[in-house]
Amino acid sequence: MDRHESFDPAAALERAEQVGANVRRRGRWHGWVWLTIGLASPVLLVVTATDVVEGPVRMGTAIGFMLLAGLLAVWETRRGLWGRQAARTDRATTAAYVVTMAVAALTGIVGEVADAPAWYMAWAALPAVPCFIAAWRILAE
Amino acid sequence: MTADRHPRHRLDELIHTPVRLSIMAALAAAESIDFRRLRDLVEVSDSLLSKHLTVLEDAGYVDVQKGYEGKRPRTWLSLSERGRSAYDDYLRVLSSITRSAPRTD
Repeated sequence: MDRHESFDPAAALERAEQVGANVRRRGRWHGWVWLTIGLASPVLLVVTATDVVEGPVRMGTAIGFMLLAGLLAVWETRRGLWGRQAARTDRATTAAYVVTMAVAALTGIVGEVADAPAWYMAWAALPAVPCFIAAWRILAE
Repeated sequence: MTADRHPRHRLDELIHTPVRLSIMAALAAAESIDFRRLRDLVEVSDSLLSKHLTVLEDAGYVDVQKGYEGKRPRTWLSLSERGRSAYDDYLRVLSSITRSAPRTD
């Protein structure tokens, strides 16, 4: 394609806006990943650390969470599009998530949380905070 | 106004073709895009996309990163700083042209 195939400025501007909007919309998908992880993580922590459900349900929840995380990771890789806001947000969010998740999980192991005290429910919601912030920032892009 | 001073003369000819503009617009809106995803977004064949990417890469507008995902080769594309700046300039010129164009309706 050469310069003779160039097109009029209004059409070019429209094309640029159209393609850009399409890419940004696809890039926002990553926000839904963080939102899903943010919703699932407190459930995983509460279910696995307390006695609110029976053993098999506990096991099922843990396996389900791992499957969900694996599925999201594979889907994410196959999408082949990395949004700008996602790139800016991801590293810090991942670090904050890993730290808060480790702290909450450790508390669940060493603390007396079998009867699901209110403080542990709040504590278990902590890993969701960085996830929700990332989701909000990416989805608002 | 002389022909030389019309803003259309400042349009970057490297970008001002439908396929290359689509490539630049897509990459400007993302951090990086996989070759196959970009091909689907721009709706061109592999060979046509490669041809235009070579032009943009030679101009220093596009960075190409090749790697493997498992055993599958994968090519990630992104706009360089120079490419992003050229694209911003291009959009500014386009806007000034469309603003100055007489209305036909």
